[in-house]
Amino acid sequence: MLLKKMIAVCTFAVSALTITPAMAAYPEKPITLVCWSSPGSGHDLMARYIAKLGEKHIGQPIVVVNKKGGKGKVAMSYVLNQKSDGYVIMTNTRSMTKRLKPTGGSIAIDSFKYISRVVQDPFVIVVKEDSPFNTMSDLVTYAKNNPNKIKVGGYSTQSVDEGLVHDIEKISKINLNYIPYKGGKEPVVAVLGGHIDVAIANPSEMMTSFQAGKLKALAVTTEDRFSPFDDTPTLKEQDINNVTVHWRGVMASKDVPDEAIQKLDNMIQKVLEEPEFKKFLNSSNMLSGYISNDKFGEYVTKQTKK
Amino acid sequence: MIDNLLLGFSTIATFPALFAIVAGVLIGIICGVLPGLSASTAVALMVPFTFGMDPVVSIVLLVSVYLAGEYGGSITAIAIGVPGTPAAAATMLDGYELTKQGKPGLALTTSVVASSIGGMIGAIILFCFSEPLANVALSFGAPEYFALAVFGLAIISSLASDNLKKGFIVMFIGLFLKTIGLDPFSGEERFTFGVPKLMDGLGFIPALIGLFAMASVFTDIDKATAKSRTIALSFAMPKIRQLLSMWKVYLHSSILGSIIGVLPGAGATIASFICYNEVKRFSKKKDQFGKGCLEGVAAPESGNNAVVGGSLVPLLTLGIPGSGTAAVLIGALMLHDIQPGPLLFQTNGNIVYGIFAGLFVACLAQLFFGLIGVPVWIKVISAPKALLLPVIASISVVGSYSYNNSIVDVWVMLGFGLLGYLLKKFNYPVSPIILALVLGGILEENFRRSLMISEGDFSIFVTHPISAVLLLFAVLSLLSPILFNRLAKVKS
Repeated sequence: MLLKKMIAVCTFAVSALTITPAMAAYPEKPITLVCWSSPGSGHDLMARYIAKLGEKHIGQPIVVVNKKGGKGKVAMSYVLNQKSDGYVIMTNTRSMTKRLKPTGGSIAIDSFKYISRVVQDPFVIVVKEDSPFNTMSDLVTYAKNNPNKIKVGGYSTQSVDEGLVHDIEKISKINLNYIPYKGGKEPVVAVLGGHIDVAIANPSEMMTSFQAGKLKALAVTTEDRFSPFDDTPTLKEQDINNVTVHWRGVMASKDVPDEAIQKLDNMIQKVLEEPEFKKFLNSSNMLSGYISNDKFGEYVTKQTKK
Repeated sequence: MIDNLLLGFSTIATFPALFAIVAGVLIGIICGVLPGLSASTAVALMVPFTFGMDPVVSIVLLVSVYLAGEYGGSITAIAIGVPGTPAAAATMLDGYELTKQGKPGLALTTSVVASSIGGMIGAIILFCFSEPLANVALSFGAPEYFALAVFGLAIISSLASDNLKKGFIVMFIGLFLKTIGLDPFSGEERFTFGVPKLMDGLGFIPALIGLFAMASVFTDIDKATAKSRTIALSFAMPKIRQLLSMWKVYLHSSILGSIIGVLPGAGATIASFICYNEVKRFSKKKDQFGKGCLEGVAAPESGNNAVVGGSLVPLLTLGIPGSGTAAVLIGALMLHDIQPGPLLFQTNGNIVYGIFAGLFVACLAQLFFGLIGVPVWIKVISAPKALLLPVIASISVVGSYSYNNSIVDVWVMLGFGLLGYLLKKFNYPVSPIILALVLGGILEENFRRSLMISEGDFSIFVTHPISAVLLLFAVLSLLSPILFNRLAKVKS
């Protein structure tokens, strides 16, 4: 066992020595990964796992720095003000890019190069166990007769949650009363306490109450059903043609050389295959959502244009 | 029940777990002492260290840091009038007065004893009543939180009882400052002047450091000369009988603190001020509060340490954080593949009961190290002002910078320092700003959310029973000092 490990370490060291000079210089010093939320948040944990597991794949330590504030604007302007050499990169999320304009101004969608999408976090539409609604069509029928009466809670305004509610309203031609909350768990608590009727939540925010039978799931917002919500149909299956997932990824400023972007993308792809990262995704109820850099930018632009 | 208790204590009766408790308590006290490192920041900083640890050990470590952090903040509040944590702003009211009278030992000892007792009662309440208390957390919706915030603000009438007008002026300054940042519902920027950092509002910790630490430096520079020393300090300690005689205060505040801790979003600061106010209301020596009354030190300290147990109730039973620190704890639990929530008691009973037991042992450790620390702190504050002031000033700058790695926070801190200095100079009370900054957000957000839920109908605040009762209490507590004054005048 020990011998095997030794051999592995030696081969790794030798290959590292022989391969490194052949590759271009990047990266020759530690990389800073800027995270726009506070330490300990789900988003921050993703950054820290990338940093921890990515080091051996890219050959340099990765340091996570938290720059909180302004819904990501503080972190974005910090990254844009650094040298565009690929040593300062940052995490991004759908809610952050959703607030940006496609172009123009000091910070816009085209100020960045998109390295890779890392995880996706789908939504589950939940009601309390004793709610009269069992399917989306129950909800839609009730809303048609009682416009603006169903109180739907979600995270924040101008958020992905609110966008989802508005999409459902538009597709089903109904009016709902959207109530924004400060955190993702608060709407779930409000549903459990009977203060509002429906909550839009990510799996991590409602899983335990769902498993304890205190919540019913009306729909999931993904393309296909996913575990452990195998009995919950998607919106599409219920004639609401909509797929909405929240995602988190990594980006860099637009002048960073493509070569560096490619290397970082390769690293993230390898991190996603690590068992430890898979375990992290599993325990925090997120799904892998890898999209490589050549498609990620297009994907973000498509979601922003309105 | 006894089985569970034994399970809990046997879970933590290992060398690593006990070591984690002791280490956690020491780290917590130190972080509490340093302004800028609040209990929740301290816990967040410790989370990465727990990646590789056994789940029980790591969670016990974090809970110990949390508990001791809440206590540690009171040390500087008493010793130099600079609350190390927001909740200790209430402890300062009487604690710092005692130091000014040359009796810091009385306040420091009372604080550690009251904190530890509060923590233990909080742990017991967590153990015995977690199920019913979880329902309390659920019964609070938007109108109830609004009413709680109004009730909290009404305390100003007792904090500033000698000059109500000034108290209200300061409170409204605080409420105004709280509106800076993004509108919670429309997302519009308010008074940010294009500074992205201000979109999140003024940082609370930098504001706190400015109002107390920096302001006291400014004030002292005004008066002190290079040779001036702090007042001669005695090492006098309170008599055991004196400490025991306050059992009612500990019990009252601990129960109140636990219940407030259960409510997500309320937290230790509100608990401290409400406990201070309630103990004062029922005290026989009302007029001594604010002038160095031991009960005024014991009440907020018992309260804010009992919050720890309370805030773990919704965390463990519902998976909802009862405070900012508890939110960080949830993240840490999930890292170890433990999902806090209704099923936790069945799936991971050893962890749940290990936390109860750990909290209990951590209180004992805190009592032990806290008492050892008292003479040390007295020695520290006996230093001449010429040494003490530059140290406070530099810790203030570093503390507010490290809060978010942002220089904007340092400017915010200095701005609040100036504000605090001016308020002191013209004899305005400072604590109403703290209350306003803590409660302003809860007040506005839940007021507007209530009206969204009721579609603009104001009766929602009185048709919900909990909200109606809290609002009634608020009115009573606002009017009581005025009525008492009238009565006193009529009598004389």
